[in-house]
Amino acid sequence: MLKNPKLWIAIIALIAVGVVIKIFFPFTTEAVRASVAVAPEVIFEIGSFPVTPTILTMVLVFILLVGFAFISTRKMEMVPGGMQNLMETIIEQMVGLFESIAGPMWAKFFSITATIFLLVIFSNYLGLIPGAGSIGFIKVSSETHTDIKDGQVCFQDQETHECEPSGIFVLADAPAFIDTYELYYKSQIEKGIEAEQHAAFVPILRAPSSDINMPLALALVSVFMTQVYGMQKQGLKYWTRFFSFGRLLKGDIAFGLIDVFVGLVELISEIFKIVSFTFRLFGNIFAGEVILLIMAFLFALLPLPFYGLEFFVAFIQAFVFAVLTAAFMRIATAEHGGGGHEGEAQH
Amino acid sequence: MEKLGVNVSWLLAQLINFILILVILRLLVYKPVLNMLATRKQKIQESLEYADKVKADAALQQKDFERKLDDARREAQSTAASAQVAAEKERQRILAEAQEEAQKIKEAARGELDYERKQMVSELRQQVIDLSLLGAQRVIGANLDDKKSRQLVENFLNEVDFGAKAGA
Repeated sequence: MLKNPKLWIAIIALIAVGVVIKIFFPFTTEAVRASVAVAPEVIFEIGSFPVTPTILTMVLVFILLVGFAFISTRKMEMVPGGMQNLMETIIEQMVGLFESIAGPMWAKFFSITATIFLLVIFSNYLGLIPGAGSIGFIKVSSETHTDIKDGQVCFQDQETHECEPSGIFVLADAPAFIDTYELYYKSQIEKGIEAEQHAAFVPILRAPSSDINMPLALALVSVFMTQVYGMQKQGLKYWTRFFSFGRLLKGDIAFGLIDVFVGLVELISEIFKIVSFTFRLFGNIFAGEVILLIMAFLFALLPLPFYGLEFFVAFIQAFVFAVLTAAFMRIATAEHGGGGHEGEAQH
Repeated sequence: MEKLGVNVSWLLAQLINFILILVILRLLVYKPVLNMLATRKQKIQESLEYADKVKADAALQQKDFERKLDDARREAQSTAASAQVAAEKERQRILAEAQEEAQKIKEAARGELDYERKQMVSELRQQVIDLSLLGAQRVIGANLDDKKSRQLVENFLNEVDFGAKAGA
């Protein structure tokens, strides 16, 4: 590989391009601050429902997933070809995976775990499409700024008060974004308004998993369905996992208190599963976005290795979310009374 | 929470989105594909079993065929052997018969020869008697043609045992 002259030429050319861009467009990471927002920015509103880039991307994910599902299973044949083959391979791989984790109960959990996997992996990869997160426009909060039209900044002529549309849309390829942002920033400073705080870069597409609501929704479903399956399998006895007063009521104070304490810990850890699920996915994807953005602003070549890393992370996060869900569901359906009488008898 | 962007309407939207995708995928993909995989698995299983059966049948037939071939070969061999034995026996019989016949012919020829010789010897004897008598007549000049002289010559000849020298 190192002896390949073409590779060296490509690397040197890329570095040269990076240097040239750096010289002619000396941008700072300052601009990143405007484009990174934990809470997604609102693009527009449908009725009273605020539509964000992540919501838009989620709709795209929905269309892609359902479209793929529809095309691949339109004509099911015994000897599969094309899309059907692809879909069957994916399903078969997932069956193998979840069977190895959830055991014989896999078929019961399959819909949930497989949907989580597909949804998360589609969401993550859509966020990695070049342009997602980097093509959008500048938006200013309307409360403090008066020179806005339809929620978008106007780099307007002071005399005519007319908005120039070319100033509104910003391609977030670095130089153009910086130019526009600095222009805007300067104009705000001149007017005595602290622009940075209110200005934000709003991409059109953004990975839905970098919006905390999506991981949170999945985590809620995952944990809730775990309780449901646990109850289906063990009935009301399932709840002795968290509220085990059995031995305490029998008069065994010492062990009874231990049981109650263990149940309490179980309950807290169960609730915190929601948090850990949410922040594991959200944190990874959001951090990945920020890293890619900062690297892009630092030097033209830098995002490449990180892009490869994010590609890997996107898969791993989907995998982990689905696998953990399957594992928790298995534990919930397999546990014997959580420190109750059966557990005691076994020791 | 507000800073993190947690928002009930967005959360609800994501939840509804998830449930919708789950239902659609369940209807469109999971059920038909899992069914298809199961059917295919079963079909392959059946095909393999059928192939095994056919193979076993073929092996059985092959064995049967070989056994029959062996039988035929053995039978042919035994037939050939028995034919050889019979031929040998026949040859021996014919040979023996021929030898016997030859012996018979030889014996018959010998008998005839003996008889003829005996005949000749007795004829010769008669002639010798006649000649000697004739000679004696000439010598003594008397007719010796009576029974007594004839007996005399006969006795003489017997003494000489003419026949003994020529064989019985």
